[in-house]
Amino acid sequence: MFSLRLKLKFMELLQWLKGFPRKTLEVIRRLPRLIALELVGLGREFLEMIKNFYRLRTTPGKRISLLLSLIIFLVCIKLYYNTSVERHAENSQDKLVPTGEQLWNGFKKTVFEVKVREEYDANGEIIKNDMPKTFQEARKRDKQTLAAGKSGSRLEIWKNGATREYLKQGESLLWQDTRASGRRILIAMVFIFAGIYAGLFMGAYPYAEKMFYRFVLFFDKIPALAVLPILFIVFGLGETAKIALIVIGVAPTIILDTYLKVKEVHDEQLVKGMTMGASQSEIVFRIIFPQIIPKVLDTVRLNFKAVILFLIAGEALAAEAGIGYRIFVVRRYMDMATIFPYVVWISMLAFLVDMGFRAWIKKQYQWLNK
Amino acid sequence: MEKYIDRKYVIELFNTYQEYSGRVILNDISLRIRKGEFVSIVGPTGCGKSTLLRMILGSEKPSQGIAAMEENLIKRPDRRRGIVFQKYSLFDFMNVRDNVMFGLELEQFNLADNYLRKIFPFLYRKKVKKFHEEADHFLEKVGLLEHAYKYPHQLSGGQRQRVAIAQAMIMKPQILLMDEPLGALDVGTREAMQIFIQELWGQTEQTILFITHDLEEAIFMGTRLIVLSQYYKSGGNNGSKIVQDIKIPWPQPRPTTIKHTLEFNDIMEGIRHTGLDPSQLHEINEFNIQHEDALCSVRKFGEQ
Repeated sequence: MFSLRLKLKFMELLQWLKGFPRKTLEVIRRLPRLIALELVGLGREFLEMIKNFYRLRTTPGKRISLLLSLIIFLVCIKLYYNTSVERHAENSQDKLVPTGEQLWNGFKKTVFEVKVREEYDANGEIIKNDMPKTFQEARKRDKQTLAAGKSGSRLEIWKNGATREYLKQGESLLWQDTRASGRRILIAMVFIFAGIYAGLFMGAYPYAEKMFYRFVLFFDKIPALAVLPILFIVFGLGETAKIALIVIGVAPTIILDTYLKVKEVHDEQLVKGMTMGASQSEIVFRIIFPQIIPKVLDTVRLNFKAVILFLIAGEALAAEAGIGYRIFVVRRYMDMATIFPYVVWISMLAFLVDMGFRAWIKKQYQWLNK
Repeated sequence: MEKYIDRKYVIELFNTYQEYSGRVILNDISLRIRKGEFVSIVGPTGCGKSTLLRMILGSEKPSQGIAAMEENLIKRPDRRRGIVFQKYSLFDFMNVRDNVMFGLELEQFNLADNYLRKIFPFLYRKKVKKFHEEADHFLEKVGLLEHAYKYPHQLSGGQRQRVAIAQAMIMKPQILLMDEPLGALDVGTREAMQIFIQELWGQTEQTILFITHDLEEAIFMGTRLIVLSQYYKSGGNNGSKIVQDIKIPWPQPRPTTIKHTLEFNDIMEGIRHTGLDPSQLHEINEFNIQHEDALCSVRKFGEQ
């Protein structure tokens, strides 16, 4: 079944590839006409916009919508560029508003350059080794060996050449930080998902509700950042305190939200389950849980922002690696060229996680799409 | 009280009262329901029809009196009493066939089985196949076999209620309770569903308790009609009583044409006059309780 579907997909792709050159030519031939049509359409939509700008319940056209959504981004970029140019005219060493080139260099430094592990001898001096210091150097060495023809094929060089050695030494700064932060987030997420079950029990069993509801409600009101010093005193400066901060900050929200969602389940459904011979735990796990889980996952998705917030707050105080840590460390040198890529990177990661959650909910819980 | 208990009755209520925070809803209800009977209960809004049904179902306890099923007190809802609600009977997260076979699954699989089934489906293939066959049989009965893989939100109101009936029937409960199952449907669908439920009752000979606020529907559907009302002399805030308990003469299944006959209209007018009209009922102090299974609350009322 699966292989058949794969085969069909492959055939489709083949057909498309066959037609590709002809189609491309056709598009190129019709391109001026297409552009003209687009421009005319854009003009029409623009006039419509002027006419209906302050009107409710209108539907803007496709082209003008795209343009309008881009405008503010473009304005921001232009403003930034102007400021940067102005400041660099006064002081060419300005770090606060880096130019495009500075940004690109910072990006390269953090993303592509491997942070080489250094070894020290007993006197605290660096042990010199023959390892290449940069990626370019390693590539150059590989090319030289290939040209000299010492060791046979390209494959062998790929397997144990200088580049490979260099890459084995360490990872780039960004990757190290992302891994450290990701580990913290993953561990915190395990506890947050456990919070879903806590909320489920609290909503479903009245005695558990009486016991825990008030407490969680109070616990939720404690500002997590205010407890941060206590956490560092109790758990030390290690990972535990940072993970605890995220959990304390986000888990009560998830528990309370799950609780409310469980309360929203109609009583008829529980009674119906009982008349169909469901046991108490079957009502909880087979009737209530499947109904609330997509909505709760949505809440988890929206609270991912808070997770990152608490992560950065925790890392800013004490850490050895981590995205938040790095941002706050390079702040001391006013290294905007490093901060910007990090900010973009973490926003992008959060966006991707959000998108993944949304796609999962849409695919897995089709009954929600009413 | 023991002398009333009889094997031929499924549900027995003796002198039950129901009150919420001091306000009486049901006032001294005594009722016996024979096996295989189609009882329809009708009454004005807020008279406690649904409260009576919930008492029989077991999701509420009477504040006084006894509610019993087969000589045992009713404590909580269980699988001997099936229910079809006006809304929310179906589980939105399962398709139609899974909804119908859900009861069988709950009965034969425990929670561990449910998770093991997802990991090792081959271990449960035989049983699940049997469930599918049974569910398909019931879906065919309600005429929805071609919609088996749809989700409830893709069905129309009438189809949804039919699935709910199949879902309740597959458990083969001893009594099927229906709480205004056709309340949200339009006239045409409603009439079709009325005939359908009657036919189903004819095939299975199941005891059905049918609650409605529509008098015409109540007379058309049931073999026995109970009118519940709070508008009797010295009534008002004293809670509802059974003001009529009569046998409907026509044999089942009934053609819809009887709704337009003179006799049908006479019964309807009579009930409306003596059972449901608030302005009339304040003068009425003699209830029309003629059914053979009725407990004699007439005498009790006379004594007051």
